[in-house]
Amino acid sequence: MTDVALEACGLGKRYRKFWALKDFSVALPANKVIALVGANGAGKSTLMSIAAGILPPTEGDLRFDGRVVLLSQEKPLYRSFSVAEMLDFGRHMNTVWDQQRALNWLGRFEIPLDRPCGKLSGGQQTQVALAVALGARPSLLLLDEPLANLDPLARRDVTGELLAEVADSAMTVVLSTHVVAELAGVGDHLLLLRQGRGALDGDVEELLSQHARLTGPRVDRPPVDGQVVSAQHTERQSTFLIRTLLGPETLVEPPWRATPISLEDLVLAYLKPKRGEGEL
Amino acid sequence: MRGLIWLTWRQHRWPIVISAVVTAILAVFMALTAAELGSMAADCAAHVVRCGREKSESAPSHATYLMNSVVFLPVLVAVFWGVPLLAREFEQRTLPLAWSQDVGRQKWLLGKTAVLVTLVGVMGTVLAGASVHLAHQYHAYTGESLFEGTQFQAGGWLPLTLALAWLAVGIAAGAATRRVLAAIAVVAALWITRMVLMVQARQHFMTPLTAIHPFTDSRSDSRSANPLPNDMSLTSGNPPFVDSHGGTHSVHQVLEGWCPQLLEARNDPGGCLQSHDIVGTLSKYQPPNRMGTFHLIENGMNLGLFVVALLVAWWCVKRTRTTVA
Repeated sequence: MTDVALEACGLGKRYRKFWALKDFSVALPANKVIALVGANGAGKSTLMSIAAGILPPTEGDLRFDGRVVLLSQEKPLYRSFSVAEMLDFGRHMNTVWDQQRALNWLGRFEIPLDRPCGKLSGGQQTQVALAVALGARPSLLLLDEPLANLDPLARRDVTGELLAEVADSAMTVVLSTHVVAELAGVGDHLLLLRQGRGALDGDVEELLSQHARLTGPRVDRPPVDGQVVSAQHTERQSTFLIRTLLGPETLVEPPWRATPISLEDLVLAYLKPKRGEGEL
Repeated sequence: MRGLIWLTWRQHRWPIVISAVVTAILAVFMALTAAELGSMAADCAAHVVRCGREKSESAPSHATYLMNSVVFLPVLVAVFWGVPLLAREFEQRTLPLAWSQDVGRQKWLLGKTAVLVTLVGVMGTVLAGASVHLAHQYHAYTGESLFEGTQFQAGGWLPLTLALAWLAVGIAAGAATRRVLAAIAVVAALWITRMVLMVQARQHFMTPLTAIHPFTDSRSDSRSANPLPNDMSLTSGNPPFVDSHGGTHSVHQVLEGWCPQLLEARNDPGGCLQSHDIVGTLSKYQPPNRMGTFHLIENGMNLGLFVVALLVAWWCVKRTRTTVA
């Protein structure tokens, strides 16, 4: 399983009568940044907690190689601990610990080591939490909406540094978010969850090359074969987002036009159609 | 385990330090007070000083305060050691951080609990040893039964097992309520309940013995309710009267029905009691030789509570969800 960082087979998690995750199967590639996307309540945090081993699945199997570290949504820290003591915490609580890696991360963002975590800004607390997570030298780092309280500049810096860490090591990062704008330029691989089930999974470039927006006169069906992901109609015009082998290169007769789509368009298109279907 | 020792120390160092200081101070005070009582008892035995029946009134007053403090310390252990272990982590939402490291949630609970249990065990042993000694010296001087009230609870290593039990109760309350204040309220309610129930239950750990105290010339002497030293008297107030066939009669029946003149007179000049075949009073008691068994039973109950509370905490931790569905 050297090329696969994490493999799930028929995974499910039920909270009383509610299935937060159901019949979920996936094989995530190693040494990539994987964007895990879904609306609130789609099952992202549940999947990550199962992967981190802090939540048992109700059904199914999950396999992975190496060490998994989860940085949860709230990025908790001991408020009375100084930053240096948080690193001590990481050192004491993990069998593998890279102090220099953690210090390097904090140094890049000029985080004072002697300040109590409770007196750091939200962004600085995120950096400390990331330093503790990276210091544990995970082979799979699960980041549950980690960039939410960072300003755009810091967000760009953090994602850049994370990509550098992935490039310099054999680490795989799964970055969960429901903020589609966070994804631009970050993920190599996209995993989209919708209402507890996998809706889309694949290499970002491949997925973008397989999807196109077709625009033409008002019709009920697109002029070419393919999976219709979404359709919008006005009185005179129809717009389809379709999945075909050729994507934007799909040949269409005028007046139809095939244009490429952005990652944000792709994600929103897959999230949108099923909304309102109700819970599982 | 070294990591968990470090973490427990870092998170609970102030309660640990303060408890250690309080333990040392109390142990020294108890040792000094016990020595003082021992010396006074020796003087009484040697008739150096006149020691009357009211010796307990002249005993150093802080002796009972010290024994009482040891009896009540376990509830403070529950509040300041047990409750924060989980409740504070729940409140500050730091459990996902702690449990997502290589040390899993069950090992985390086991390790931190083991550290606290060890520390409470050491401090509890010191205080329980000192309080046992103090209770014996207090008994030697005052003659008050070791089987009653504070002296009983301060003896037989009960402070140690009680502290361990209430540490576990505090942990379980924190795990179940997930809020510090709520857990403290639960601990307080359980403590008061325990105090009330144990006063009642303790008397019935074993079937009490009965003794008939025949009348002598003086009525007041004949009505003595606690004739046996160092036992646990179960006869409070006026003991019932007993006739020659072993039948018992209430004080109300005898004094207000048959012999109302006895309420005024100091003795029974008309032989009213004799005419009704009353030969003495009946008292129930637990004999002194049962004290070890009683301590054993109560220690067993404390250790049972310790185990049950830890199982509750374990179960709560096991089913705790650290993610939002």
